[in-house]
Amino acid sequence: MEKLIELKNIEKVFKSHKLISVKKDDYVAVKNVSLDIEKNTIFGLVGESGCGKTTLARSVMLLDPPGSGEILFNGTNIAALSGKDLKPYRARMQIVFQDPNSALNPKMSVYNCMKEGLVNIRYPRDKIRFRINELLDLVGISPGHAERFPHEFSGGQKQRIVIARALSMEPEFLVLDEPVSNLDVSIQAQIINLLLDLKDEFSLTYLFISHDLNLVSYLSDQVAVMYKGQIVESAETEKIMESPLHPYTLRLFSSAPGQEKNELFEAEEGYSDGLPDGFTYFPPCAESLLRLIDTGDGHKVGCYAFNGS
Amino acid sequence: MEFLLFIVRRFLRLILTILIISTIIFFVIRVIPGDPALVVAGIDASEDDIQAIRARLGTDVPVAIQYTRWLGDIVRFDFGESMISGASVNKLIMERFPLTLTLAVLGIVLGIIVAIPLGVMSAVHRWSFWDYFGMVYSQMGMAIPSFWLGMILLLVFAVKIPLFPLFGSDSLKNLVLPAIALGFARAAVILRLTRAAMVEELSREYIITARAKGLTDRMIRYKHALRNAMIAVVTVTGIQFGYMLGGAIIVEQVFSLPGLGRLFLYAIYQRDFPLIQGGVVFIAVIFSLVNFAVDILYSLLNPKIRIS
Amino acid sequence: MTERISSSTLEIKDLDVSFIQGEKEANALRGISLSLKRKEVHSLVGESGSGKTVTSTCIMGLLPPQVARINRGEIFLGEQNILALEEKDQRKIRGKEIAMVFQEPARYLNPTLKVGEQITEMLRLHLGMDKGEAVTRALEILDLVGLDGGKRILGSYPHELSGGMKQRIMIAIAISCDPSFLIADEPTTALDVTLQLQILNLILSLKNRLDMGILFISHDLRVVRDISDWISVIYAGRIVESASKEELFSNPRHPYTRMLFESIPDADKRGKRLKAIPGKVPDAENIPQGCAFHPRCPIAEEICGSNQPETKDVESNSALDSHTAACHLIGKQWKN
Ligand SMILES: Nc1ncnc2c1ncn2[C@@H]1O[C@H](COP(=O)(O)OP(=O)(O)O)[C@@H](O)[C@H]1O
Ligand SMILES: Nc1ncnc2c1ncn2[C@@H]1O[C@H](COP(=O)(O)OP(=O)(O)O)[C@@H](O)[C@H]1O
Ligand code: SF4
Ligand SMILES: [Mg+2]
Ligand SMILES: [Mg+2]
Repeated sequence: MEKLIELKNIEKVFKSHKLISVKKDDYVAVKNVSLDIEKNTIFGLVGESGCGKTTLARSVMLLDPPGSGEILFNGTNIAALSGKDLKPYRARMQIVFQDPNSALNPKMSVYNCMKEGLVNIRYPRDKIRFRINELLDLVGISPGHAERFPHEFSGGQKQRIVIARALSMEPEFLVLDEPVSNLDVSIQAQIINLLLDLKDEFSLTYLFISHDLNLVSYLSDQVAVMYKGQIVESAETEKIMESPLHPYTLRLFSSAPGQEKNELFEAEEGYSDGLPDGFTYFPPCAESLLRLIDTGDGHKVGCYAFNGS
Repeated sequence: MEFLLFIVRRFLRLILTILIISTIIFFVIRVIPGDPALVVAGIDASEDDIQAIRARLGTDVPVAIQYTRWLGDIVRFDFGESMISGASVNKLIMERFPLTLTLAVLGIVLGIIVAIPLGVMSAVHRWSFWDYFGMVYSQMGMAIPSFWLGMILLLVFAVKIPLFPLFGSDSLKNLVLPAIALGFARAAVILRLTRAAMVEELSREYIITARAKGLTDRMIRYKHALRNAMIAVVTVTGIQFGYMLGGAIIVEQVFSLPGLGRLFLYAIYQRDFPLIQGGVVFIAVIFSLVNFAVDILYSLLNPKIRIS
Repeated sequence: MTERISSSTLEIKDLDVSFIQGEKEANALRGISLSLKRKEVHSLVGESGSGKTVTSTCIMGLLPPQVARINRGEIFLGEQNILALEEKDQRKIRGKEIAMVFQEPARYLNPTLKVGEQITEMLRLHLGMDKGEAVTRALEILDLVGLDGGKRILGSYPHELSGGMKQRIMIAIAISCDPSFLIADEPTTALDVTLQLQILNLILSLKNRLDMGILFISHDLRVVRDISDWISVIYAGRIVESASKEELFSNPRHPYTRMLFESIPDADKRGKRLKAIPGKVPDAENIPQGCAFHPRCPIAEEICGSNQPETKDVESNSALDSHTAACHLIGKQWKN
């Protein structure tokens, strides 16, 4: 399989901007993240909120001042590009955020919202209206509603519009940062189906970010579990579902709602009992830098206490 | 510790502001075309006279040296002597300042006493008598200039019904009418803001929690909503207080009060440059100090600000 | 201390509520009936906009009086119809007999009051405690909701606490006066899975310890699975199906309930399309004629568009429990 995206040792530090400060409180939000995303697949990234998923997503999209590391798009390190060289890549990758409200300008009609992007990429002006209608139709919004404003749509519909706008750039790669977390389960299913259809139709590649393991395991080909800024485990979805190795992955699995449980799992901070063989103590892993160890077949687990058994 | 650090940071900002303002003042007066000495000396002054005035103004040396001297003066808070009376600028300002300050404080206190309760009442009982009263009041407050109000007050309460003295500045009684004239418009601003802030806070979700707890309306309004509304009110009140020092200049004229306003006005008429410079810097410092105080108060009211 | 009413049931009967805005009328609840016993978790499940929050705010007596109108219905706390009480008597019930936990603790806590004050003010008001007693009690409650470092927490402001801690504080406030009933309106929706589980466990353990009856609201059937005794499914302001948890999970009968189950993603469905429910919940202003679900229902027939289905008993797997649903075509076969 061909790799579309390769991340190499991505690191992102938030510097403290205080004029005077007693202690330096720089915050390392993403630590040494490396992962490969194959063409026309869905790569799922799970982890609890605050673990650095959005920060990683923004870094990949080069939306924030870059941290360190390489971002290879089709083999080109786009993190090293700037200005004119970067521009073509910007359109080829698009991002959809969790909250469609902040992505859509409330004072602009859907038509104008979408037009902006198309004008920007110099889409032929006389074809813009046709194109917008086509895109809206594609995501299940009636083109007749193009003149409406965002507040006239429901949450699910707004997210469809955001997706349509992302598609208008004709991207190859979409980062989906919790695109359905604000929606009801029933509406989530509509959007997920839409995303799957679009992926097939346009041969898209997704980085799908979520804190819902059920969802990620339903739709992704590869899964990486993130904890406190680091990837602690990554593998093909089936493998990680069958034999999760890292204690944090186990914990995520057993807390997911609807999992059959004999008794309710007591999820506590800093537990050390009941770890699988090969692991000693869990919390310190969060403090130090993990080394990802390949246990075979691309199933990688990071644990500084892993003794290889 | 966090809080102390916060104060230190704000204080440094205060110093920086004052430095910037005084630099601007320095250059505005020096660098704009026209020699101040010529202006001061008048048309028919001899070259020697002008030279002497330059020496007194300190404008006979290069600008760089003047600037360092100026900064030195500022640090020592010494603005030299008035060109007209020869008294030290500091002394002149300090003689007049207490009156202006009292007037402004009185004005703001009157404003607060009127505006905050009325604003709260308007917000709590929307579309009631008090709300309409508040609306009419704030319209008037915005529309009526303070010098006009001052004259009307004098006419009614000092001339027609002599409740208050017409002249003089030696007792608090003399300051009541000027304070009303000064506070009237400010109160209108504070009133509008208080109402808006209260309405906003009363529609927030934590009010629903407070109601779900079975708290009384009084507790919900005055303990929960007002506390949050005050954050915005305090900020605006502080800014209004700053304006008031400026507004005092006009009101002092109307009531013939010997405050800072009159001092600076005469300084401008008579082109008393050291006094003008000193006055502007002084006002700027007072303004910054008020802002500093507002910042501190704001952070005391708003626990979130201290962390960020 | 004031005397307790201590009722053992909370019963909502045929509640019908509208919001009036100018000419428009939004009929948010159209005859809701629910009953809740102490020591029992009754879950109310449905999509956003179906009337869950209106139901809970109505029970709390917190509907905005300017726009809300209760057209019909009664809410009995024990023997007493609390809708008929005066505001001042309702206030004695709020927080003391029936308490509520909200979805977003960050917005529902007062940002400028210390957590301690937000807990103790209620104890002083409802239970007449003095400051010292209230603080002692507040510390006990913090312990009960699994927050240690009590004193420090009492002295902190909401924004100094994490999301999970804030939700624990909301729960602490709610249970502080030992209410008979707790309404939890999507208390975990804003939280991650691990925190969600912790909060669910907490609510369950509190129910057992304090003998509370809990009305648990969620849009996610997965979430209510572990904690409910009874589940009611709400759609467009009506209860469309109601049964014990076991019964509902093993034998869902209403098309809406069945589709809610089918839309849930999980690993078993990999490679298959999810069965999404097309369209969306109707606005309360614009409820379709007949069965409100018919525009989205895969088995709808002509009658569905004209007649509103009655709530009827349906065959239950367990002889003991009743199972009701409101659908004309309950027996109709449908393929997936
Ligand atoms: N602009 C920023 N400045 C400082 N810290 C930030 C910034 N953005 C995010 N963070 C911190 O980085 C961490 C990761 O955040 P985020 O990537 O948003 O997590 P997630 O998307 O997994 O919920 C958080 O602890 C957050 O507080
Ligand atoms: N204050 C209000 N004014 C007008 N309509 C309202 C108001 N509150 C709720 N509604 C309407 O009532 C219906 C049910 O809302 P709600 O109970 O909040 O749904 P849920 O909690 O199930 O998501 C929605 O159609 C909503 O628009
Ligand atoms: S009554 Fe008709 S439309 Fe309504 S749920 Fe039953 S079959 Fe569907
Ligand atoms: Mg995020
Ligand atoms: Mg709701």
